[in-house]
Amino acid sequence: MKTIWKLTAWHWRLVRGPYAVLCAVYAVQQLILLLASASDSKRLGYQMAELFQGCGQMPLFFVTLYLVSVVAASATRNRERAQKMYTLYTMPSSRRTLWVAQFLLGLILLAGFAAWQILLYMAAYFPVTMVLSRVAESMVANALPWNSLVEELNANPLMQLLLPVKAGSGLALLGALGVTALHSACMACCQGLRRAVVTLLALFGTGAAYTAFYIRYHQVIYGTDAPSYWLLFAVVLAVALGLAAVNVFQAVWALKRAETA
Amino acid sequence: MKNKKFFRPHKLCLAFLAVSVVILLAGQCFLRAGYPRSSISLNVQEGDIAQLQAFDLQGVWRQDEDTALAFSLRENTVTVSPQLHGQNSDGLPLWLQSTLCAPDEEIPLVDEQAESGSVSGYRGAFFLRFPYSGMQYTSFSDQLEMICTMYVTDGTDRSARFSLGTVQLAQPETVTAQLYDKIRAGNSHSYLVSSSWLQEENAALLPEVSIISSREQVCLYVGPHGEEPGSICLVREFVPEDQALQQISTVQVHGVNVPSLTQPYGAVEETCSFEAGEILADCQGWDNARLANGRQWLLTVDGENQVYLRILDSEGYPVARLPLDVTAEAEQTVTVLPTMRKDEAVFTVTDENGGKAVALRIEDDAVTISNIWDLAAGETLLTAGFSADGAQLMTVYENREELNGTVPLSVLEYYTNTAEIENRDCKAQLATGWHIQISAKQNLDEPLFVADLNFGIPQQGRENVWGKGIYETEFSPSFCQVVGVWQSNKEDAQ
Repeated sequence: MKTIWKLTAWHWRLVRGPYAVLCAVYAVQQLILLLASASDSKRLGYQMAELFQGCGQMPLFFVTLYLVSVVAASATRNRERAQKMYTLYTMPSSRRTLWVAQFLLGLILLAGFAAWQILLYMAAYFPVTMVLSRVAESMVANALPWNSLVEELNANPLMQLLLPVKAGSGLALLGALGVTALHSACMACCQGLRRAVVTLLALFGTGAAYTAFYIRYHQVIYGTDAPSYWLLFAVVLAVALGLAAVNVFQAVWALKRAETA
Repeated sequence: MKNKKFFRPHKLCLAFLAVSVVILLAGQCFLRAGYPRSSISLNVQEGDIAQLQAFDLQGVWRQDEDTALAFSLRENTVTVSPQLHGQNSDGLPLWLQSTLCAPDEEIPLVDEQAESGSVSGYRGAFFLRFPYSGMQYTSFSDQLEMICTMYVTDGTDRSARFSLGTVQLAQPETVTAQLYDKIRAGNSHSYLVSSSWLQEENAALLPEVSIISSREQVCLYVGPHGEEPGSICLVREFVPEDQALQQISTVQVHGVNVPSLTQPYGAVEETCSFEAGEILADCQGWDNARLANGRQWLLTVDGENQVYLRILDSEGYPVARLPLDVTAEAEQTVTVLPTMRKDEAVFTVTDENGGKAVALRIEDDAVTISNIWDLAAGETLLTAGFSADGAQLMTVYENREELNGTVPLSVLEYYTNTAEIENRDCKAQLATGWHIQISAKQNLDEPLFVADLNFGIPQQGRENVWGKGIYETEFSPSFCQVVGVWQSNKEDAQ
């Protein structure tokens, strides 16, 4: 366990640079998009949660989440690793340690990115509301009432996903992040053409996992217990798990052949 | 020797993980604090909360068309759960059943026929019965038909057509209840059709026909006509839409082909004939006039405005006719309210100066507990009910608040395609919660328990205010309402 944790920490150090850049770019992109939407006079009367959905930030979040998993996987291809003088052969434990460490790393980075999104949303509330107010003031005589930060958090489906209030929803979030981390670990363990294939499968696999996650959210929030919804959920979940299983198989095979050595 | 430059990345990694988890947990706490379920608060102003134990109050807080919270006040605690989304959630089939008058097995079919897959908001659906506004020829002179259109709040509307046998409706023989899924624009109309009777001089002779209940079975009130007193008729059977459509033939009237809507599509039975001079009280909320085991109660009024309570058994036959210590003048409004128990009846008789509220507990063919009290002008009673032993009475009134706002230009343009209205300031009265009071049955003036259940003002509240500014008509606050015991679970309504 100690070895796994040490390896996770070293790999975290290797990817923290690109990870920080990705987070920063995402923050700037989100702020620009929200402020641009808020300054659009046609959206007068919108609240921040509506703007967030209207400008397409929610799918961008999931795309970036996938990119985070790719960044996490890049640890095994980092040039600095050679400088740190260790390879798969020099590791004092099983080769699968690498896979577990990468899984943990992926989970940590994904959790960090989710937390970053929450912070960003809270931080963006004030400038976005200010811009909305300014635009409203120029068009309407009286001040419009604005939602509080709590109301905006509550009204945003992404925040409801990231901040579940029920244990089941929390497990669903953990499951979605877990599947993404799993794919990330598989990507990290493969090399060459196999890595490209695994990365592509991971794209579809994480996409299916997020879709299943959202369907479940829809079921809980909208109380839809129709068999058709359950069937759709089961099919999408099966696709996500199936692709994860394929990637795990590839990763095990790659580890056996010591591709990442 | 300690190497100060020795780098331990796991500490930083752990710190990063810890910060992330803390943010997620803190965000969750923040959200929990502000989640709508928490914004339903019960503020006890007076008395012991244990007094609530004898009552079970249910309500719905509708945030907008698609999201709602159901909550109940039971065993001293407020329980809130988000629900009422989509067509298969707990409450919706009930509403659908109560308004569309479809047999259980046909409800999925009706759903399929709806305009979209996410039909919601049946709560607001109701039958409309307008005065005669059109005429449709039929091939026989002794047939009477009526088309009622009911609106559902998803923007579509359905029509139910009732064909009521012969014009001599003392014992109408036939009926059809056919559901349409047409989308209609504009106002709905009902058509009372008969080629010989719908002439102006005879129009007044047509009996008034209205739908009392459409849950387990369709219950119609046929008003007095000629020498015949009014009566209650039950629809014993009706045919599905496809069969009914097969039976519709076309006839030629003045050279134009029109559908003949005269075939008997079912059967109606008169189950309860009223006394001479006795008419059904002009009531709102008949859906709430239900008792356990499929029984029903009605309010009738005689020539001297005396109100009678009529109890019908599950087959619609009369069980009792009891005079009540209350009168209903022509200008007064009688409203049947949802109840907290299945053996109770609550109604109000009010006008602009206030009025009376009546709560009754009905067992078999008798009223075992009753209470009548005064309502002040402007007071809106939502429900009332006795405790299990009948010693206490709970009353729930609506709290209202005036909200001010200004209609944004974008909203104005969206709804009216114009931005020319200069004064967009508006204000509207909005329901903000309930005022709950529990008193000893004999002494309502000194309550044992007083509390306010506050909903907060959701987004829709502001939109309602804007609606006032745009249309100059006050939208009814539809986002909080009492749910009667009949809406509590599906089994009860079947």
